[in-house]
Amino acid sequence: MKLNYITLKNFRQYCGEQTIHFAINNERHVTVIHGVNGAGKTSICIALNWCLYGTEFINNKFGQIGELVSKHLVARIAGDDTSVKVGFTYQDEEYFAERKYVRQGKTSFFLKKVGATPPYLDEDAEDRIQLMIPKEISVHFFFDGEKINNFALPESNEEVRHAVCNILNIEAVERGIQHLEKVAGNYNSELNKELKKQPESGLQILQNKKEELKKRRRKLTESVTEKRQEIAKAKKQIEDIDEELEANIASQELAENRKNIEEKLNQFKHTKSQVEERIRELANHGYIPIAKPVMDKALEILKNRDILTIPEPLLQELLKQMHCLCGRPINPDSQEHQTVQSLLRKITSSKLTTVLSEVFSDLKYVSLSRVSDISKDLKSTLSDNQELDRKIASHEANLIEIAKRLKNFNQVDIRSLQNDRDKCQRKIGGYEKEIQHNQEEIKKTAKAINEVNEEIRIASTSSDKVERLKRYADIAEQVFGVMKRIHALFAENMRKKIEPIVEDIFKQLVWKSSSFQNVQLSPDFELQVIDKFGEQAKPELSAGERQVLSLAFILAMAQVAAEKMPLNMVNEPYPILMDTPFGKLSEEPRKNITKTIPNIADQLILFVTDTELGDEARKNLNSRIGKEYNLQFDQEMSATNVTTIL
Amino acid sequence: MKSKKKSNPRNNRIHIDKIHHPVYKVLTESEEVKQPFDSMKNVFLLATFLGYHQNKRLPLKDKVDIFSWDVLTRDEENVSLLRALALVVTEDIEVLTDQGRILDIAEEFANAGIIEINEKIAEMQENKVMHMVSLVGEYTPDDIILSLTEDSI
Repeated sequence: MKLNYITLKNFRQYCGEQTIHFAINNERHVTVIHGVNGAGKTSICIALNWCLYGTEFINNKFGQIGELVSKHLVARIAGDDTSVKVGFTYQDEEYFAERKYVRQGKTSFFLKKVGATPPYLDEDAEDRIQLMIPKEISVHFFFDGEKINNFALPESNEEVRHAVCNILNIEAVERGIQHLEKVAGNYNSELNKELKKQPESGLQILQNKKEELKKRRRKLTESVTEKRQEIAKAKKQIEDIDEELEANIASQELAENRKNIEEKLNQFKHTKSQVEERIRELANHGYIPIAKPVMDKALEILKNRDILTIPEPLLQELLKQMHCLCGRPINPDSQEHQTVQSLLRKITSSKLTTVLSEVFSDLKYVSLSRVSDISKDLKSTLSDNQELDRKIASHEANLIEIAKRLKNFNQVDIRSLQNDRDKCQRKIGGYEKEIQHNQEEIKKTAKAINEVNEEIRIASTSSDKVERLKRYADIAEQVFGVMKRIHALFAENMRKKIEPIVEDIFKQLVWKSSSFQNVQLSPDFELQVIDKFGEQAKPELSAGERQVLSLAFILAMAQVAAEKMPLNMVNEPYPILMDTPFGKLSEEPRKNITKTIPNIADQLILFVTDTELGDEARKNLNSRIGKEYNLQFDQEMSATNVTTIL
Repeated sequence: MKSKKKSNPRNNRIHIDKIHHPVYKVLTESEEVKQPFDSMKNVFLLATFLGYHQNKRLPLKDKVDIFSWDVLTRDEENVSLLRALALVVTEDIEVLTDQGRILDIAEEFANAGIIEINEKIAEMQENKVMHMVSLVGEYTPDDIILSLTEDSI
């Protein structure tokens, strides 16, 4: 398809009938239409789309654009003669399509092949146009500058995906998806209504309740099992404690025995120390038995002498009392009296006699008594000491034996053992109570489950419809899912097809290609530029670079769209209409694009502002421009006039 | 035996040979352990009669006094024993009233007997009391031992 002309009659700010002829020459196929902002560039785009696809389409595409009828015309003539006529060549045949404004938004439309009659009217005409250039695909040929921004903006995946899906031309699938979604929604809605009718908030609630009860019963049963295990554990612990306590009773007895032995031992040792002291004391007088021979010899000597052994005081007392020791009286001058007096004289005359007497009596006493006593005592004490040694040794041996046996017992605190035992008993008591409680709860829960089962049984009879609706809804949702996957597969295939084309065009358009290695259209439909380091460069792309990327995508889409044209339009030329495409580009990319774009499109219609085409860009396009216009907006008339430059 | 002599004019202190003084001290003095002898007097008397038993008298070379006669008189039988010893040694009845001679004789016997005590008791590291008992038993006359045995039977 190539656009030959467009005639606007009283359309928006175009008053009267004004025609723009587009360049169709193969060498000079570029049409440039200049116009400042508000001059009416976009209105021509709208007019083209309105003519071919109708009011609804342009409202969807351009948003609410307001009145289509020229306000100036309305003010002046209040007429309804508003129309747009588009002439084009399709498969080497010339056509023209005309849409007329009737009233209150209604239009009439016809398509006529030049030289042939009759024309196609309204729906028939629209169907024909749809076959030639489907409106979904047309957006890739007739686009405005805003769109150039859109595709390369961050997070524009959805727009890109939409564009790709749009070009798939698989309306049946899309309609199927929409339909199934609606059907599944309807079934679900109906199902919800039906569920609300169920007794006691419906079968599902009963099922949920039953599940909850079963869960509770399971938990209670688990808890009972757990508590029983705990009881068994506590009982085992008590057994262990009892064993330990018994062992400790034996050890206590041993300890008691040891205490007694220790006490006895201490007594023996104490006695022994006393005995040893006694031995020491006796041994200190050991010289007395040793002196026995000396004493015996001395006594022998003294015996052989006439040694008086009567003490002087006794003799003095006898003389004083004049009585004998036996009681007989001593008469003066009697023989007894003279003997006593003689003895007394001997004594008083010799100190030696006294000493002799003392020594004699001492030796006799010591020899007869002390020697024997000391020896006997010593012997007996030594014997006692030996006995004590034996006892001590025996008791000490016992203590060692007890100590050995006690070592075999674990030394534990009986009180703490008893406390532990009490704790175990309390635990068991507590667990048993819990088990009893849980078992009662289990019974209650089982009863409740039975009741719910009964309720479910009753509810189930009325739930057949619910089940059916559920099944339908499930099927609808499943098919919907399948359709979505099929759609996604188509989209994925298309993505793979578009990706290399975008890359190719981008490389042609970009002015510093050496910085970029590749362009990718990611699986989630994000346009990505890969830099020479293999990293995604999109975040660092300048606004101009993003526009170039977006433009590359649009041009790629147009190329693919052309291939997707019905009736095998693979070799059919196609136009590209660009509304203010260079608005955000700097001079450098503009130069590059203006040099490249004419080679990509078979027909190029550019709407540009007064500043968009610089000298260099203009120079690039010069040789390709076939037609050139200027849109002059008349402030006074509030109307745009089209003036021809070339 | 020695012949009769006149009364000894010496003082009333009991002497030993200086060389044996440490033995006396070891056997009687200790701050930590109770020593086998209560007093130097008991050591002296045992040494005296051991010396007699051994029939050994050693004159003192370098005297040092260790206690007085009064200590002996606290127990009259001790004095009598020493008098008996002097009597037996001298066979002179007059010696009984001669304190100086009595002490001289006892000192010389003790000077010999202390050697045995030193060897058998003082030099022992442990249980000196039982060594003392053993020594006493060794020198106690057999008839006493026999009589004790008979008694026990």
